[in-house]
Amino acid sequence: MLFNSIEFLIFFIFVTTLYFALPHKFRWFLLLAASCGFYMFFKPEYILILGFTIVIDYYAGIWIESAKTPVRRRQWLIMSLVANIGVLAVFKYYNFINDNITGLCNLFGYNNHIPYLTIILPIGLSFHTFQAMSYTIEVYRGNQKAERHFGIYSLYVMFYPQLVAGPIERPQNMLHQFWEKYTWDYHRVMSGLRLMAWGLFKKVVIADRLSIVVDAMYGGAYGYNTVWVFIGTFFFAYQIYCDFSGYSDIALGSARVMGFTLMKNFNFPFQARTITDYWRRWHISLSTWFNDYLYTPLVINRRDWGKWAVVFALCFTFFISGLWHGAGWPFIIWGLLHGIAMSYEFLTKKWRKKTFRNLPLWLNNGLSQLLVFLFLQFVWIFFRADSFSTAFRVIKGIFNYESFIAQFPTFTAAIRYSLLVGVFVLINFLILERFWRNEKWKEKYEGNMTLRYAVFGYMFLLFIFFGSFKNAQSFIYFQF
Amino acid sequence: MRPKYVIIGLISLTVIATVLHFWMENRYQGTMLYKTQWILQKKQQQYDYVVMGASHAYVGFDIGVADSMLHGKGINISLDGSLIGTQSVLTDLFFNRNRNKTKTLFFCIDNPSAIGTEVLTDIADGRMMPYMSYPEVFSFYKPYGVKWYFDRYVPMWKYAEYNYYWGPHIFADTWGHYMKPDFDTSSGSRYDYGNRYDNSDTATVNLDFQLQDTGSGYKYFKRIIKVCKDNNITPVLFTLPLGRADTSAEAQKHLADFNTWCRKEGLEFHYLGDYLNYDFRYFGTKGHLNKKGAELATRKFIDEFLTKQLAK
Repeated sequence: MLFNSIEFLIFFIFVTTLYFALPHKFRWFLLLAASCGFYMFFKPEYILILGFTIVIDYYAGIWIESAKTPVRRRQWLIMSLVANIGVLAVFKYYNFINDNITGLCNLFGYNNHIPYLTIILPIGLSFHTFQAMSYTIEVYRGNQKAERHFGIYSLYVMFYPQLVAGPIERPQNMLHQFWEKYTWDYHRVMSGLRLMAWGLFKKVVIADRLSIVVDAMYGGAYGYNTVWVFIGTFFFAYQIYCDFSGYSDIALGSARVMGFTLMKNFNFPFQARTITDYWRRWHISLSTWFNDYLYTPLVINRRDWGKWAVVFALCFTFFISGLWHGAGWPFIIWGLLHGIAMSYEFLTKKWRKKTFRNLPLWLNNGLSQLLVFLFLQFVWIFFRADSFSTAFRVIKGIFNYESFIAQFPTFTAAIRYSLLVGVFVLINFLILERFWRNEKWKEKYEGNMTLRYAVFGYMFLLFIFFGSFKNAQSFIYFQF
Repeated sequence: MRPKYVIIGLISLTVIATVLHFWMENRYQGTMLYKTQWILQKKQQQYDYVVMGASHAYVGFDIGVADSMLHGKGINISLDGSLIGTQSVLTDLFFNRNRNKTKTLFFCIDNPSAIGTEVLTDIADGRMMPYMSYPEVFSFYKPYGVKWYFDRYVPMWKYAEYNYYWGPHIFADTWGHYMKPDFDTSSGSRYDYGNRYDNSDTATVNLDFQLQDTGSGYKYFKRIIKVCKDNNITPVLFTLPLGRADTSAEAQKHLADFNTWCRKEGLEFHYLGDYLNYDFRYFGTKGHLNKKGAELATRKFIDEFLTKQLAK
């Protein structure tokens, strides 16, 4: 069920009303049943995979906690990790690995007889697997008590607002919330609904509108030239941002309406002045997951390597991050480029500080932001392109200086329309976001009812006039 | 934000949406940009013949040629991107609601708009939106899901959903008329294919004109036939020349079956699919004739039709 669908609107109203109408002791069951329904709406049988990992991790948590020796505790943790990563390996990486084996075999003149699997990747698999893994790891580390209530534990993995695309929660933040009783709080509910509306606006008006142009550019039917590639990659930056942060806003908002607090996932990422800063602002729940469970243990483990331990940990973590996003080499390259950029930032930190200290602050900040944004645009080419050949064609297109003005009339009417509307709605979005980023302005805005209503009204008009409803797309991160 | 103000806000939005909705509806029903608007503004007219179909007939039937051969006045109400369901609604509106009269309905049968097709297409259905409040239109769409109830009853829903067809740029055009209308005076030859030779489309046109029967028993086709009967109109089925048709034995069997079926139903059917020998000089795509092709095809069809009429 997509957040941007009529079905979800009906589902949300029904579940939320029932949630507040039911006594507290039945609410976990309602939410669990609703979450199952929500997930089964995509492909019913895949709930069995979720069920499998839930059962394993539920018992693993209890067994880890009650294990008498550290060795035994470690064994139960490994069992849980193997089960989770095993599911990911089969459903997400099997065919990718097989592809690579075939490639290697062909290189040496052999045939690969390992059969391919004809399965569709279960939606949001990487998200709920990581969330489940964080539970057993935290129980193992002693930061979280094992949850004895099977229903509540299942709900921790399956809670519908964040089930298919995060935020990837930690048990310390989530599990206790399912035991707490939340009453109707008008201001909280309104704040949740506002956040949902903002998320929906980002998805429908910005992301889906820009996607029409982005798809046309990457589709390659109109060729590639500097301006066209720049427009496509620039639009993609905002498409993916609005798509994913829009999803997160709807998730956070719908949870907030019922009283739950989910982790903030985005913090104006395009304001970042370094790639390191960017990863503190983009998909925060995943970055912190990798930081806590992979990067930090790696650095500690290899501390005798000195600064090269950090470089190694960064590159390895981002290699895995790329792989987490998609089973394909372009994703891995995308991840590695981030790892290399962050390593560069780490190794040259002192030198850069010394070299650029005489630049005026505004220029330094502006240039840094611009460079980071351009870097992101460039590496996203690997993320968005469906293959290396497409990625290289797009990159080659950057140096093709043919006239975009001459190319424009050859676009279909729908693309021309979406391009012009895309620029218009993007300008509106940037102004609105700039407005809300500034605390002073935000305060003034909050205190001025007329202004608030005027902005709502304007956004409503933008929504109905320029939202892309017929091109309603699934959220990009659903595929991961 | 106090509840009182939220309620005032919601009421204000509803009022704005409702006013906009009716204002737009009124403008769209009273102006002409798309072919649906043009067709549905024809009221109580007398025509010697009417052509109906999808884009193949829209571009491939030359009204000027037919008028000169039949010494009469015809109209082409074919809608590009439409399937038989939408065509049945348009036929109903054109003859029953708008009381237009004719003796003969030339009905172009083609694929993918086979007579058993039971699916919708956004290209044509989007352009039906200003008419969603008509009972004939809504009763056609409502079995397809709850979405259509939202389109019918929630103010601005349909204009938001189809804002590419009915957004502010089209609303402004109802005064400015800066956009190229989706019809022309003779209504055919809209796609300016010229004599462009386009042989890149290697797929072939399926000849199974009864394809995709979902068990409805050709209800939309029957609706068209019923409209014809109710208005004393003779339906004449035909297929225009094709640029690249399926010529397999199976396809020939489909064609023979359809011929037999038409005879059994008492319907006249002319198949001209192979008339231009699949010569791409007369086509814009594998199914769409260019101007020269449309002229030749129309001439051939009228010739054949007249010969049959004389023989009766």
